Amino acid sequence: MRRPLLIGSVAPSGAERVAMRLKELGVDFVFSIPGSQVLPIWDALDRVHGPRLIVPRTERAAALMAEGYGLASGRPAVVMNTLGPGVANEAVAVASAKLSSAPVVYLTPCQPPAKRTRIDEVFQGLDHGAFLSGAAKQQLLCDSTDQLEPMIDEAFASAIADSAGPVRLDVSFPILFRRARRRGGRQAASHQTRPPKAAPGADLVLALDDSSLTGSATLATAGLFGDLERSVMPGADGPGMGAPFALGLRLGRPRTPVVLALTAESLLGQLDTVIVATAEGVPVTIAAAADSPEAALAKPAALATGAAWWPIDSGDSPEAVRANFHQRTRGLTILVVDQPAG
Amino acid sequence: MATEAELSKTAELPVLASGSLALEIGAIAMRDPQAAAHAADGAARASGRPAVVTARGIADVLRVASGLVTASGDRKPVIAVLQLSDTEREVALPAIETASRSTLIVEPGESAERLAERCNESLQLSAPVSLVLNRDSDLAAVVKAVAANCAIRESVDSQAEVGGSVDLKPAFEELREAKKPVILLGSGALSTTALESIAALARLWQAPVCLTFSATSMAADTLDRCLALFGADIPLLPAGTVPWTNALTRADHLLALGSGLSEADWFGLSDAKLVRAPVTRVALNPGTDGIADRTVDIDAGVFAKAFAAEIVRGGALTRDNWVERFSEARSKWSGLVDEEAHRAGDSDRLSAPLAAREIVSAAPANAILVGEGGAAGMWLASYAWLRPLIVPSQHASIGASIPMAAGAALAEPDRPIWAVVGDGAFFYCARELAGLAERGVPIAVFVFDDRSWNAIRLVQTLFFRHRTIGTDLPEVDYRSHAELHGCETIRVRTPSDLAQALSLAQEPRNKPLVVDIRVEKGSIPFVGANLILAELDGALGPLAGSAALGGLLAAAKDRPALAATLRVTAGALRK
Ligand SMILES: Cc1ncc(C[n+]2csc(CCOP(=O)(O)OP(=O)(O)O)c2C)c(N)n1
Repeated sequence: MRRPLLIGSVAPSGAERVAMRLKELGVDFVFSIPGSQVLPIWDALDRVHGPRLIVPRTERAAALMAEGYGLASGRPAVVMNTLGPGVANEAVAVASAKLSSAPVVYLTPCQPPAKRTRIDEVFQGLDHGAFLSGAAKQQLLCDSTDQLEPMIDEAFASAIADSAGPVRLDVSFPILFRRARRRGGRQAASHQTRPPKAAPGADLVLALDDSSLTGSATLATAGLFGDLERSVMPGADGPGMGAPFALGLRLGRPRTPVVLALTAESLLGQLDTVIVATAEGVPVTIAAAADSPEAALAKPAALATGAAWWPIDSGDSPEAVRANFHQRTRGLTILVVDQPAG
Repeated sequence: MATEAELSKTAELPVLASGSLALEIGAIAMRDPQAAAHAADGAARASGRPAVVTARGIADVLRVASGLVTASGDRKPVIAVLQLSDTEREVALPAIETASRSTLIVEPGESAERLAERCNESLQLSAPVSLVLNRDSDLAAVVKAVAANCAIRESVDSQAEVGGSVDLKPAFEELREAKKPVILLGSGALSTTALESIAALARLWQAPVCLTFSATSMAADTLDRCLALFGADIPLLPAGTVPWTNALTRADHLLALGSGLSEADWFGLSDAKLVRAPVTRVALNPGTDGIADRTVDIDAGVFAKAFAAEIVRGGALTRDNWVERFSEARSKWSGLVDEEAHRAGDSDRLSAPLAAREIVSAAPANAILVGEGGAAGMWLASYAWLRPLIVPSQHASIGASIPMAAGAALAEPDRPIWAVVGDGAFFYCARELAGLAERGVPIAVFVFDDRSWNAIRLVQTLFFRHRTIGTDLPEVDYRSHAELHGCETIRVRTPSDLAQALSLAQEPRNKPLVVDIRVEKGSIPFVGANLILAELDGALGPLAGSAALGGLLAAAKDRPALAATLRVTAGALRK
């Protein structure tokens, strides 16, 4: 393999080595909200033409996209949020990936050792390891450039091994800026996958915003009742997290239609994902039963975000509606449903 | 539990929750559990009094934990009452324990009253406090007991005489020798009695008073008291400003009162080795910091009172004109900062500094201003000079200003609340606007629409050769989003649009007003430039070798206030 990093005699920076390794591992996407300390990796991803950067609007969304991607593709998804407040915002999504056994690698800058000993007094100081010790499957900490490639490999292997789950790799951020040659014969990275967990073999992936929606009447009228059995949702069950999760499913399972069911209230809290999807080239359609109370809220939401609006005609048979969902193999379809009582 | 209007009349603490739980226990309803935590934090910051957030189950409790991190960084008196089963605890408890400064696990059979008592004890020592209940406990009863019984006590010690337990003589002797003394006033020294003693000491000792970053955003009533006590003769210098930096770097002795001396307290100046003077630190239960040359474990007010008495007895050596110099520097600085705001825009271009300046000057005098960690928030802080201001300092988190404003409105219903949010950060908590609209809360929210994650783009501009990868945002119509959430809205494109929006903001209304302000891309706030020091401390070596220094100074061409700030940054980079 070509080694584009060793331009002339300049050794690569830690960040460039990270970007190269992710590329060698065949990573497609890096889901990331920035902070100063992740910038060297962002810059390097661009330089090495590495994985595509997806920048959502919150760290939580970045991490939930990765959960969906990991479940749909069977390959580890990569999250790269900033340290401190960035990691703070991941908490629910790390737990969610653990509960759904989604293979996700969280690669995060962290404070250097001298600062970690007094982390409470450090600007944006948070003890990541302690904070997420219950939620992560495994946590690794890298303080030296020599360890970068082996630890990234270990994180990938662990994320996917046995019962898959979220593995965190903290990298002391100053080493990202430092230049150091890769030593010794580099082992080829191995691309590891496992069978996709999200509705394997299904011809349509139905995602639910939360478990209470299984009783929604709209699902039946939209012909999706039969898809419920194989429906998927974030491991941490609670409304308000389905949209980024479903976008992750979409990216991880090209060519299979992905339909997300959520309530109008939940949709209004997740419009950022509609905007991000559109900006990333994933067209979004928002659907609701025409003239329903859901439609009254969903239509203006579609207009505000530039999503396509699909009022489902009450005269259409469930089969016809499902067939329409089924044709939408490229984008993400969001079906706004009624909130079942109770 | 009480609404905005009712709360002001009772001693009961505000209680926030999300979803159906809010309904179940009669709390103020937020859409998202993390926003509920930020709102409790905002209430605590605005008023200095505790506020309660409650949640149940992994998905909600962990989102509360995310919000608590910001409160915890600034040690705000938030009380989280959280309910988890044993298996849920395995996943979520470590996050709660790390995000809180005290965690209390409910004991089987413990009464709600007893638990509230334990909570109150912890609250005095180290907030935020989390109470973790099992699924059998009566959550509503505990929340009720906590809301009714918890409060922050005025420091008891400040009434006490200086006992024989701490020998203050050696500290006094050193401090009296100072010719250029500076007091660094932290948030642990803001009780009424402490402030009185410290103001008296500053006057006698002729020492300028630098506020730490967290004290700069003290509770609104405390600030009113502070301004009355210090008057015009003792310069009170807000964190991050150039006179503040000059005072800290030129002092020959620093007396840190009630400060944790964390990096955020003084913007990484310590870590950049820019402060050379010896530091005497006075605080109750100070812990270790590795920075102070001498640490005295006593209430800061008690110390100030005793030291003032010592000066009355034996005098001090403070140079003539030392303190006056900072009064002059202070007015010169506000002049420079004003000038930059005007220089940055013209009649049809609106810059972020100009917008921030106009917002601050149009806000009613008693208004509480709410900011966050992005560039827009930094601009607000630059102009909100000694105005009531809420901004997360330790974590400089983004995305919390809307729910923090909601909490501030709850705790201080008689004060107008004006918040600034970056366009990048807008969606973190935009949906909370709906609840404010439903409850008729008239906050004003100014969205700084610069089509970028500017504070980050700024680092790319300075340190990554203008390779602004990933930090541009697509065009979004924030106004129509705010309308979806039931708000009154107005769009601003020019300075005259802004004037119109500001007079609208001053008018009474019964819902939030969201102002979508289109500002120019790429502004470089003063405060931000120094914040980079704290943020990238540890990697400054490699950066100094990059084009950074030249880039920094080029950025400051024709901008005297920015140039003055950047000189500090450049100095640190050279080291
Ligand atoms: C929760 C959190 N995530 C990430 C960061 C890092 N960060 C600091 S400023 C900033 C950009 C903010 O952009 P925007 O909200 O548009 O405000 P602007 O700087 O453009 O005014 C980011 C991502 C942070 N401080 N807090």
